[in-house]
Amino acid sequence: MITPTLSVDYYLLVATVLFGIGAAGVLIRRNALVVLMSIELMLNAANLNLVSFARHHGDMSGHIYVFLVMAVAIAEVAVGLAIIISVFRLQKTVNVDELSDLHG
Amino acid sequence: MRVSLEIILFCFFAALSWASALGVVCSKDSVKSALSLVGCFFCIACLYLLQAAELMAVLEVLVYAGAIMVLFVFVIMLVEQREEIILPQGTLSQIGFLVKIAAVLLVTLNLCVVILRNSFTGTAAALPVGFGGPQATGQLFFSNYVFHFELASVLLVVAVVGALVISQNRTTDDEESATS
Repeated sequence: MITPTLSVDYYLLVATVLFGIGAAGVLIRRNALVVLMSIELMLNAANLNLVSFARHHGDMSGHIYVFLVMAVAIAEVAVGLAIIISVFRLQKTVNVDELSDLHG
Repeated sequence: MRVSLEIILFCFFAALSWASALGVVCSKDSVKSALSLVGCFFCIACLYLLQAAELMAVLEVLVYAGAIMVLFVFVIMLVEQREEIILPQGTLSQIGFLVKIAAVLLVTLNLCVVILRNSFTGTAAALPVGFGGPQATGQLFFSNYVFHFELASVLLVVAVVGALVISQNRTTDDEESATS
């Protein structure tokens, strides 16, 4: 078993930067598929934080929540990709700027 | 010796995960984005392993790098795409682009400073036997968190049914109802 030598701070830093990159991807990319992938990145950064704190406190409840976040991520991807496919059938595009039919 | 190995592995996988995350956001081709995302998930799984979360590392590779990325690649193949122009052209959208980047950088750097100021150094708890293994996780799931577990299964069933309903081809249904 690995003895705890690296403090939880370093893992939090890694997760923070990953979350920032994911948030930048959601904001600046226009391809709906890449936006979904960036959301996955952000969810993974949150998972890394949960695992880090579980390790820090020696309590496995964090792992349970990682599992639940994974379940939510799968549900989100399944429904999101289904929406992208059905939108693509109607509009022939996945660019989120061109999908403005509900725009008032 | 072991300490230095852990630090080397941590730095390697942290840098690799940042690089592949940047690859997801910055590459024009969405297939390359998907491949970078697989690399990023693999690095995150290795970071889980460094924190004695073995089961979560295995699940990360199986679920994210396996199932979710297969779904993504399928949809990338189904959906034809034009080459995307990431850097905007007009002056107004360029200003918006810079504002978004600046906002994300500001928030991220702020969070990093907060983390470094309030350090958690040296208070990591001793690990109980079997920490992060499947047996301990299963025992937690079927004792304290059984409601969460059932809720997750209901969520997955609802999501699968919803995805099927959303993505079914409605035009064939309309033609059938029109002929009958």
